[in-house]
Amino acid sequence: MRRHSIPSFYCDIRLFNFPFASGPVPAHTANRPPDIDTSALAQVFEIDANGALISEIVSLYATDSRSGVDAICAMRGDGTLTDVIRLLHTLKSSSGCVGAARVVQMAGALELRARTDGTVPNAEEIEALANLVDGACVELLRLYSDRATMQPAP
Amino acid sequence: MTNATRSRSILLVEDDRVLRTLARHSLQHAGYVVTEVADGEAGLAAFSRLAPDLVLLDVVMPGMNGFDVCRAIRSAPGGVDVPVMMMTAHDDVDSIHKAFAAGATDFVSKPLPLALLGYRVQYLLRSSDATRDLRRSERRLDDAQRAARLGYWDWLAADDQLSLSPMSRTLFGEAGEQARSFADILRVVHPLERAPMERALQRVSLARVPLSIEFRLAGASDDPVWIHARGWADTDPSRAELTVAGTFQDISDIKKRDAQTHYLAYFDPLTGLPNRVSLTSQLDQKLAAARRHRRSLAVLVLDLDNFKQVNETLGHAMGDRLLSLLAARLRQCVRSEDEVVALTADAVEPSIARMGGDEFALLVSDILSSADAERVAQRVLEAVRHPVVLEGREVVVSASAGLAIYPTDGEHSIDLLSHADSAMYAAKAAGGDCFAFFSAPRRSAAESRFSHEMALRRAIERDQLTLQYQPKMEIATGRIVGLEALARWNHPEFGLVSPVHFIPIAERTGIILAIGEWVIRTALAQIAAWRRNGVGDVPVAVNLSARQLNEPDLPERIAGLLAEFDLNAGLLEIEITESAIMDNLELALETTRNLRRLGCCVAIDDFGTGYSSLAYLKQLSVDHLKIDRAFVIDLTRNAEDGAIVQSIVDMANTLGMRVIAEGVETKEQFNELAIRGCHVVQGYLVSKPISADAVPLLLGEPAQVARVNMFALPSAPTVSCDAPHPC
Repeated sequence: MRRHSIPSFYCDIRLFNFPFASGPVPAHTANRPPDIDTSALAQVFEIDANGALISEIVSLYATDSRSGVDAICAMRGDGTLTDVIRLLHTLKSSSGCVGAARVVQMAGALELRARTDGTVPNAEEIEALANLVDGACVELLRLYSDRATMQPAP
Repeated sequence: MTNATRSRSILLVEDDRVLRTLARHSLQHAGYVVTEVADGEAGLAAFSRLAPDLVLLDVVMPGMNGFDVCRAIRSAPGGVDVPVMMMTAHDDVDSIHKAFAAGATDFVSKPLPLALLGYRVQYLLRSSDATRDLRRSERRLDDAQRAARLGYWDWLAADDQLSLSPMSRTLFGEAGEQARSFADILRVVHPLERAPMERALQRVSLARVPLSIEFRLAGASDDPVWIHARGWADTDPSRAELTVAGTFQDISDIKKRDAQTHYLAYFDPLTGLPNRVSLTSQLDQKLAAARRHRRSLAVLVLDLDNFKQVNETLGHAMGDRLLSLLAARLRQCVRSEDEVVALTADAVEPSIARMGGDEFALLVSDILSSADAERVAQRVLEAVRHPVVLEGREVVVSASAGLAIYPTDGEHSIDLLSHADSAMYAAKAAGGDCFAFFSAPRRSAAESRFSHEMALRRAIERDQLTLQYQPKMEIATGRIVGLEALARWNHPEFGLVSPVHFIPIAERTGIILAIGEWVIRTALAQIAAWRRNGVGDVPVAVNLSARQLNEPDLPERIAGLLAEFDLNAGLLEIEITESAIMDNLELALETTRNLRRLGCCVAIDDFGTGYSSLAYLKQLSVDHLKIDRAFVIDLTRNAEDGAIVQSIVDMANTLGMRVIAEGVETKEQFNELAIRGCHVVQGYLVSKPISADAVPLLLGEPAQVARVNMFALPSAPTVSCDAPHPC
């Protein structure tokens, strides 16, 4: 994988603000059980009370996040840093939409590191990310099937 | 959300399907029409195709990133004002900076606040609409200012710092581009208007008196640039320095129009001379001066003689040309050296004016006596007399002038002009090509005439006119063969007014047409009344004026009246004077022919007094010749009158006409007329004019034949008509 140089001032700003701006992303972050922020899904209910949108969103997330992780994995051998960053960014973004907070946390950290020093995720990190995504999807499906628990109080 | 909101369209550019789907649902939930695309290129294509009201744009996308897309939208047609909301990560401050640098209107952080997204968009659209309206308003204001050539300025008076809008700079040309102070502006103000401008600036800056001043720019004097400056001091006491805000407006066009309006209001465009309004104003000024200095002045009114003929023969264009040439000549004339006339003091030559038509007026100031005014009048008339060449033709005209002197003939302009006018008419009445001074008695007569005119105009509607009937008697039989209707005016103040007095007025003013119509109608109504009352059919003659004779539809109108009263045309006889016939011989021939064709009798009245040609007699279709009373009065004493009467009778007999003698008052006249072969007589000997009521009595008198017989004709004349006549 090629390494890309990032302007130093850019790195300084990011290093100051974010704990995972450089170095390996801690494994314990990836190993913790998926943590879904149900308030994100509650927002979706506000604009779609009958749950059809939730179904569509969970389905889309399950498909796109997994394919996103696969694409990142594929990029390790053949791709550009920009594409990796974009994929991590998109994963972070869509995970935020469904409340997959741990995925957001790890994808964000990997994106920041890639932007900062051009380091693309290694196999271990990708696997950990994939596990988080899978866990989030499982949890989302569980929550969806039990969506009454997510209904906002009247 | 309002209905208006629901019709707005949103273009959603986002590669993340999850986020895109959520955003779409959120916006649709808020009532927007959403079009979604997954990358920048597709976003630009959709923007060009759909022209959305707002673009919701992701930053990180495959291909073009959001910043590039935003820049491309801003440079696309219609993309300048469209609000672009960029979706950024909540912690990505750098992207927010870049988004605004690329032209984004606003940003929204991810994850999107789904419940609030619609409101964010609504707020942004409302703000965008307001901005668009403001820009449109500014453009309109800019257009309006450009059309009105109006610019604004701000001025810090203490430091003389002047700030000009682009239009203000344009108004002052090159100097405006470089102007930074009012001192710079004053340098290009016309020297004559700099001081007033400076004073106005001082007043607004020191006393806060609003500034409003017009000034010219220094430069071309034949087409000056006029600027109107307005300014108001800022009344905000919290401001440490006095600020004056104001406008400059190019009013050159307004000034030109004002000048044109002024010219049209005070000058005659044909001759370039001042007009009546201008002259009256000048006269008022000169009268005030004359009053102060105890001096005299003369008002001279000049009117061309027979100018109507010039127009009729040469055309109005030539008439105008003549007036123009004469105006120039008159102007030259009053300019010429004359120690008496102080006419050249005013630059606008106020002392000569065209009053309208072919009438001019001159003011002669500071005269010592009426002789001075007379000298000017003679010189002016002499100037008019000189031949004028119009398109190679030499035209000679003359004028009549009237003079009124201040203070003897009046102290006010209206009186002096009126009196000079009156004097001018007196000069015309004297034959023209001369002048006359105002005369109070003559004026009085004219006023009396005018008063009569007014009264006569109302006489018909006030039923003050009546008809009297004078019988005509056939000499041979002693029978009354007809009546002549004679109009009388029963004036409430003056009593019965003779036609000798009011008919000339009626003819001059044109009232004769109405009176003539009334006479015919009344006479026919009376004939019909007599018929109804068993008096029988009584032929009545009415007199026709020259003006009536010139009415082409007269025969038709008479035919209409005859039909209205169901009368035979033979009962109506039309009397026309020789002079009326000669006034328009062609039309007279036509009209008399038509009247006879209608069945009316036609008589030539006052025969022998006009300058008529005997040749026309044979062309005229007339039945009677009425010998004027002038030949009857001295018939028995004057052999020449007898010869004339005899000639008329002989000629009438030859042409198949009957002869009626007017003004027969004595038995001797009657006998003489009978001897000479006259057919009918009319006059006091037979009867004076009588009222319509008296006519049945007269016609019923059995003594009338006896009365004629008592004249004891010396030898009974043989009355013969070549052809039997209906009258």
